[in-house]
Amino acid sequence: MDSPQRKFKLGTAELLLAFSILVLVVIVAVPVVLIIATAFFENGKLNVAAIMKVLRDPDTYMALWNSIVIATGTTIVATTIGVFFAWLVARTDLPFKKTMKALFLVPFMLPSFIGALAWKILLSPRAGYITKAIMAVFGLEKAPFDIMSIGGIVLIESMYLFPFVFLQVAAALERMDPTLEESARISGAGLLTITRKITLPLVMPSILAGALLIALYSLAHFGVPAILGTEKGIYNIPTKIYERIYSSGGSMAGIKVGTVLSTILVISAAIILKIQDLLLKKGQFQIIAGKSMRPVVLKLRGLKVPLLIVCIAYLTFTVVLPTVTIMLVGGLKTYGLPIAPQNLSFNNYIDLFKMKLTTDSIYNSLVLSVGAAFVTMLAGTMISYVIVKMKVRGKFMLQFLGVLPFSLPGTVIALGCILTWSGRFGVNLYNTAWIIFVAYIARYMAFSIKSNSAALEQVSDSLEEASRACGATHFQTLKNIVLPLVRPGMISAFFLIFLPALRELTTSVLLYGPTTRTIGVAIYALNEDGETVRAAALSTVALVIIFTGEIVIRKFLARLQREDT
Amino acid sequence: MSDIRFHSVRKTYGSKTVLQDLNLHIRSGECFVLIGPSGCGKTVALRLIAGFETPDEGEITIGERVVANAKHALPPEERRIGVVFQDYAVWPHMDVSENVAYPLKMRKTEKAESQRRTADAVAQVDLAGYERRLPSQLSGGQQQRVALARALVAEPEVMLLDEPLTNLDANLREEMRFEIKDLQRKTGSTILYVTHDHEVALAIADRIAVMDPKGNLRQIGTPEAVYEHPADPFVCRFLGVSSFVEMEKKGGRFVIRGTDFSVGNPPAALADESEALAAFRPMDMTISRPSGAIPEGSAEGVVERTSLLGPIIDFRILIGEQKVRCQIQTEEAVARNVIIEEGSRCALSFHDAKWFSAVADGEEEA
Repeated sequence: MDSPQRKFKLGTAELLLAFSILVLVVIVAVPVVLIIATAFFENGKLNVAAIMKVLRDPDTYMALWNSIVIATGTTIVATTIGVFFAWLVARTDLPFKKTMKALFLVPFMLPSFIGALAWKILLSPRAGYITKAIMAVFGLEKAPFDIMSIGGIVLIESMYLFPFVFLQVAAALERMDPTLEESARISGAGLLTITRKITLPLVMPSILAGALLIALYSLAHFGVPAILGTEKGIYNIPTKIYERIYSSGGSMAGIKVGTVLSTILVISAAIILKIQDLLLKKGQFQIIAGKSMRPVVLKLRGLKVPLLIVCIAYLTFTVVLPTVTIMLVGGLKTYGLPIAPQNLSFNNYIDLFKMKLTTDSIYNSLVLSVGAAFVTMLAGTMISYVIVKMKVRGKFMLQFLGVLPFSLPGTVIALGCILTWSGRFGVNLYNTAWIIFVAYIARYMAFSIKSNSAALEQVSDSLEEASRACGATHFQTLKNIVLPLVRPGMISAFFLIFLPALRELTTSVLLYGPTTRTIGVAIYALNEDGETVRAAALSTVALVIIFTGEIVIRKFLARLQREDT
Repeated sequence: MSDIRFHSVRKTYGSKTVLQDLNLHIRSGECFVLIGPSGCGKTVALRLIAGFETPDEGEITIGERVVANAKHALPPEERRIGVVFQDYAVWPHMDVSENVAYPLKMRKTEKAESQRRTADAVAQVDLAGYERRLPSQLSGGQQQRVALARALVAEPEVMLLDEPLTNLDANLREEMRFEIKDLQRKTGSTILYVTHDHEVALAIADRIAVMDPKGNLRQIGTPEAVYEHPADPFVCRFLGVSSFVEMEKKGGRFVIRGTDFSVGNPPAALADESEALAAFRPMDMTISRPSGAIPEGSAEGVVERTSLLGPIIDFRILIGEQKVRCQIQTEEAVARNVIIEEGSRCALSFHDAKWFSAVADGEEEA
């Protein structure tokens, strides 16, 4: 009898595992480890005193405190808005429900730092157009309110973050088994009692999960506090990290403070994500009904039209008004002039395409987001395949590394990349576009893994086994069976990365060099330099690219789905 | 030659032992059915042959080739087998032709030859005319036929079928099992068919092996042998509805416990025991209305439940303290006027019984 030939061969499986681990270690793990090491150790020794010194410094202490206050405030306000609109769309007879549901996701598309810029133009205490109008009408000496405050930051962040809760809660309300409510109704409970005792407890996990997502986002958010707070000396953790690194000219002292604050961010993020995960598991278990059923719908009667007007007014106020403002200000000859036809021209827009700063930024953002999206899509597919499908030793390591990207805020990734890619390991990418490129891969790896894992879980193991039994090698099976079947997941991963990367600010603002500004950085820099009209003009261009991108991609994805079925 | 042998194969998952010490010989060219309750390890045995799993101990051979032992394993693609899965595993992005031609493509078969054999295989499973359809445009039965054609097309020495009919509806299941049998006769390949469905097993097998929940083989034999002469109560129960009746010795002969009714004599091996277990299939007895004395080999009982199941009528009857199931053709029941009402008395005459030792093991696990 002949015996099997292969004892141990470096097969496709082993290569995939090794390569996946390598990617995650280099791109994600090393930067995180370096951040924590830099925070805790000095000259090779654990140095708690230094950490305490950073934390006791009123400057950093205030940043921490502000971050908590802003995140808490934003979470409460945005969750309230999100739950209210979700309920309106899912559980009442509001007219045009479907359209309204789609429209409530538009605030997601508007980059919040552009929103903040618009609101600063409208409401800043000295020069805001609305502020001035109100002062004129009521003959006030002082501005009645100040958008450039903690309250203002909370308000603007809430405006653009509420879709996180809206999406979760609307989906939960729609999936909820209506018999749960009907049986309560049969037992004689009124609508208010049902809402309080049945509906609310059942969707509570979804509400909390969405709320935590907002908290996580807000805690690590750079754009809005940078535009509305920095000028007035209001810092949160990401803006403080930015300020320290730039004011110290990239010295070790600044980086040290950054790593301590980053460690706090990473730990908070990990805790928030863990709680969210637990909540979502619990929530799904309770309420998912297999079939889609028609939920109990509250008749709004006389309130129908007023509530529709509230929805439309909200969207006009948060999306249309800032967008129009940005477009018009982008056309002004000088900032501060009244918005009137004689003051408007296309010159700013034409200038944009003559200035190196702005053309570079548009080019950089496009190339970086396409490149990062493509590479991250491929790497994410490979990593998800190993995690979801393969039975190999050493997989647990990958499972651990695979969840790591989810809990890394943009600022932390940027700092980690500075520590990793500034020559410490013989590779110096600092001040080049490559450092932003690797940072984007780390930042968006979580999206890719999520999307690809979902697609791979749909591919039953027997499809692969059938191919092997037909005489195909592991590699041929991947090429002929697995890849074609996960293609939809890969494509959606690409766009899930491409669109946010296009308007990224938080990470690139810490990493840009003289010629590697992204659109986000360029807008931020122009605004900082007081070039408000140019910042607005570039924002308009960004908005046009983003909106066109969203629409084209949505159409494309919808067509792809139709073809698949 | 393409017989399949398991030599002392052991397979564990973590702390759970699925197969302890499996020894099995599947002869070349036979249709061998491995039957057992779900979770008993029968699918694991099939996956070990296919190469989707590797044994912890022991050795598996196909023909002259050792395909797996504790140290080495040939990957599935080098084992020259065909597999049909319970969930069909037809690739949704390929049409019928592409699915069926795939094994030939992987073996780099020449194009004209490949086209001819694909067309043959498609015709063989009655799907001619459907070549350009995608799986989503086919019914479950048609998809399973695609899977069958795909497994056949490369004329593998060994075909492995894992519950291929479970997801089909009853009519289709019946039809397909004849088709599989037919195909096997035509191709002459060795088939291992894994199922928990005794009807399919008895219908298509050349030989059957019955596996218990612990992964031990209880009996191997022809369908007639295992059905008519089950080795133990577990096998008996697993191959069809059976009523087990406790027997005790009274006055030198065996009677149903707590009564004076005899049902015939046990085999010689049990003659000296004081207790025994008798098993009856629902058709092993004839029901009638009681009239006069109860003759030898018959018993009297009370009908607890009468259910009309269409072509047959099913009775649950209490004899002493023990229950038996009895079935009769509806037509015959009407002719003989034996549709006995619930609560009434009836007479049963037994014409066949399977005898087991009263301490026979495994009965409780069925």
